[in-house]
Amino acid sequence: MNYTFKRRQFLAGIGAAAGLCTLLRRMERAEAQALATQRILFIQRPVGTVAANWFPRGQGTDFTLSRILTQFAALRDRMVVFEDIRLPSNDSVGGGHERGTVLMLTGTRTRRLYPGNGGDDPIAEGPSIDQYLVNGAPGLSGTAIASLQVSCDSRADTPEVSTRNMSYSGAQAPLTPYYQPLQAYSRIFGTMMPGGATPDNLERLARARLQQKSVLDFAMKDLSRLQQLAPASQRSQLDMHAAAIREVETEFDATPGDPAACGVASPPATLNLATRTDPYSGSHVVPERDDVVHSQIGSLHFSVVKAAFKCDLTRTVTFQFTPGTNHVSFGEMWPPNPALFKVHHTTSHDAGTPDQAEFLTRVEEFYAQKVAGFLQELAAEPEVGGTGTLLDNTLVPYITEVAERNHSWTRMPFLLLGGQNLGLVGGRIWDNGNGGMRSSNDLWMAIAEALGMPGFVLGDADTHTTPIAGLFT
Amino acid sequence: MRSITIPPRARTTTFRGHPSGPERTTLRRGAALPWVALLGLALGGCENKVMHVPEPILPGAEPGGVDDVPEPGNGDIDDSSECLPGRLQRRAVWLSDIQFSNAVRKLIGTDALDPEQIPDAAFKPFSQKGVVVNTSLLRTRLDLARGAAANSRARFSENTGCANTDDTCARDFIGGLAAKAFRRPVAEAELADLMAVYESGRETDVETGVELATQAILASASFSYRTEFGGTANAEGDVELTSHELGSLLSFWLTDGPPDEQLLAAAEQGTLTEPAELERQVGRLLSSPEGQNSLTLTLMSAWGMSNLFGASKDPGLFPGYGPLLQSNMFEETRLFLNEALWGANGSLGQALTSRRSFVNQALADLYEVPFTGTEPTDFVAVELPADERAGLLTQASLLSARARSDNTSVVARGLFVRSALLCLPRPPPPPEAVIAQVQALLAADLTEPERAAFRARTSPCNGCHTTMDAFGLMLENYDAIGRFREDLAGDPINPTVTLDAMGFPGTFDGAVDFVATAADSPQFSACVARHLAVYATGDDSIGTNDCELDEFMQMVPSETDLRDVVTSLAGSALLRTRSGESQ
Repeated sequence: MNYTFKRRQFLAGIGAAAGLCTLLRRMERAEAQALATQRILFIQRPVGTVAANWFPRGQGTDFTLSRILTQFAALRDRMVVFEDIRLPSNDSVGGGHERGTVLMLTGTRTRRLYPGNGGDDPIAEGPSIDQYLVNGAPGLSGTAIASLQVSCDSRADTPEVSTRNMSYSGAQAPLTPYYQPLQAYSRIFGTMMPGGATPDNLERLARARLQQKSVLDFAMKDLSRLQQLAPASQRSQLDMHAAAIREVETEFDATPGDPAACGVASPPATLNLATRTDPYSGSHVVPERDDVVHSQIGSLHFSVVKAAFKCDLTRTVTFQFTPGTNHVSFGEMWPPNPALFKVHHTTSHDAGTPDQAEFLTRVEEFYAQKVAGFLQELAAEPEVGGTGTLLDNTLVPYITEVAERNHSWTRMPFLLLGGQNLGLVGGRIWDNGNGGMRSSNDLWMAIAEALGMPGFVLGDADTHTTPIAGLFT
Repeated sequence: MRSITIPPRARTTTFRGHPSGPERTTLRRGAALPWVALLGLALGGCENKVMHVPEPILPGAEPGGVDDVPEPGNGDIDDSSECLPGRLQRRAVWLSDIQFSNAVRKLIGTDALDPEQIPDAAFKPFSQKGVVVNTSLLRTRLDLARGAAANSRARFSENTGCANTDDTCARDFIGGLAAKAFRRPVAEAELADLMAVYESGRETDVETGVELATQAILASASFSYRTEFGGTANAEGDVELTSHELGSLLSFWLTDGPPDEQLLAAAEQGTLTEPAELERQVGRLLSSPEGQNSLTLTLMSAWGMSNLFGASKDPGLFPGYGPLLQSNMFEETRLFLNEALWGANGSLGQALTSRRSFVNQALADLYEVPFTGTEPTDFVAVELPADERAGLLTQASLLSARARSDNTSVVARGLFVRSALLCLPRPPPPPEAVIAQVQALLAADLTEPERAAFRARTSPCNGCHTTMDAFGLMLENYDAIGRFREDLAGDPINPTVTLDAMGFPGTFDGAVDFVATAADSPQFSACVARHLAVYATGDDSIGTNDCELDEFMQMVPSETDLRDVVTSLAGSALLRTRSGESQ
């Protein structure tokens, strides 16, 4: 391939004001597609819930919102509250939050632990549901960025892998999230030169992309030579490597989006992520308050996600507030003394008291408020070139890695929001009648079915049954 | 209640292609060590499982779950192992992050990467079997390659010796860089592909072209993988690694970095596959402080020493304990092992018996020994008290990592000695049915020896705990951060244990008494060899009883000389032969 840069090609291909036309292209693409845009956004918060303050009273469509769920009151008609979901934890290995985080989205039994890392860090044994959907759901494909992973805090008890990652492209292959919103922004919008989308800047950007493409092209040729020499037993592993090259290449091929047109005129600020970790023993009172910056990072990440959705640059996102062993400290939430800054997860390990339950409830309200606020923003944003709003075309599972502070994995406090145009029937509680708990895999299989993947199964033979029926019209 | 009387497993050896033939019989290590059979008997009553048993973590075992910290790759007996020259198949091996980082810096310059981009060797993974390249990993390496190439460009003239208009010079430079980076000769077609990358940047200038080609080299599969494809297959389909492949394996195994010029030259000349040259090269690598330190850290990784950084303590009970003291403890053990293993009188046994350690002020206080350094942060050599300390088992780092936040842990320490230090089969986790009782026992107001006594007299606990608790009880003289103590709750501590059930006949008066016996035991040296073999091959199913390990351990002149063990391993079929059956 000849990578010599041709200005004429560039001008013909993009046009002088190309960077400003992101939304127009978006409309054209939407018109050309028979299938409407579909999205999925997994949002996790850590340490489960306080069941007494989470589950609503009533059943079916006749229910009263609980204290925590009141935060979602404006979205009541667009949400399903799950009563009878469990994580498929039987016969697996790993610690409470560690195992829960892996099982939550991979649905596949954990069998091995990473050496070191506190001795309870399980290895994912398969891809996570979001990656299955990216590769299998027709409505989720076709964007510049196949999927995006973000997290608002990197701290965990040890250098462990399991609690820090939600998405896996395969067994033992985590997709590491971006912690700084600026990293996510740069991934989505590339590196725009100072001065914005001027023709000269766009030309330089296009040239840089072409050069980077030549690097990837060599990477692919070199890998192909290796593949020819490697034995058949390594074929699938090297094929995954090749697929990764192609995916990155697709991103380089994409015309750069204009962040201003997508709603984020300037790059997000770089915020200082806290590094202090809190031991299990002690008061769990720390000198610094983390929740303010934590909240800002969440908001900035949400802004990038919204911009990416608006300009259709990605359709699959996993959003993690923190690893399950959450080291974020919260102010104004500890009932006996609101002036103290209490650490979330370690406090959850203290002996149960009313003060602790109140604290954990308040933290749950904090996260619920952030999420509900963001989803209302999505509900207010029209779908460019489509019908309804961004939220109408986006399914939002709101999940957590344990049910409650005792690390139980039954009666998981899950919600499913949005997705009106995908047929989600909101405004109700889903329970399994007298059928007991259903595996979360059955829920993900129902979503896969709704996204055009009939017959898809997730997890081991004994960790799923059938897709949960009746969630979608 | 489950049965605890499962008969010991019959062990058989199978041979590929010769299911019942005697032609390729190899003496199993177990045959030379009849006492290992006793272990099988003991563990038979424990329903012991073989490798790949799910690690025993109780739901809610946080914090740290130290009672059940798995010993990284304990190499339990694997019944199905085949005694073959080519245990491993032909393959490409992905370089770990630290190996990639070292290779980039060797090639481009020590400052080629930002300090925060360089992985901490203290956390290097012991085994990264099964790592798959996805977009996340690929992007990380692409970014590192881009940064390093830009760094190299900043010293363009110095690095290349080329003028910014000289395409021929640039081509020669790129070809030479690729050969070094790929650790093998570069084919003309490969160079042509690299020159296509060069041309895309050459449109701007030669510097840009070279920068892009450098990036392409560093971001390529040939740089991030080393191959074990071998040469021509023999009649049985097995291949020997090529000279270049062997050079790369040796270098990344022993130094976590790429082959140096001498090793590359030996590979180039084809002499590396000759036993004398191989021995000379291994000896040379093991003589370098870089190689010695790398192997020390490999063993620390095998022993799970980085768990120390996740081992928090009750600040009320241990007010001086925190990240700084943890780092000090880790550093002490690194210095201690470097001296014990590689010093003038170094040997494997010294790692278990030496009292010569290195302390700063904080550690001198912890050990209650005089500090002779100038600055409180200086590490200086010290002879630790003879009746209190001896070797790795009595180091504060290990004792802290294998303890709970407020107390010692007989089980965690016992499991460490049993599985990580001696590679004896790891007992299975407690059955689900008794987990509530286990948690109740942990919560009860008892001392650790009292808990151990309860387990010893209670079924089914005693089925397994009789094979591990005594190892932990002999360490009860050291509290949860490794301080020596004579008393516990007002009563004198009795660290005397009998270890017959573990294959060590007799009575031992605490760890200091035990370590001399352990240091001389073939099981300890075989276990170290096993860890090194796992690091070399990434095959964490290797067990000390496997015939492949036995084969070269029988060739070792002195089992207690780490250099001898490494050299024998380097020449073994386990490292050098691959099966070609899946080709």
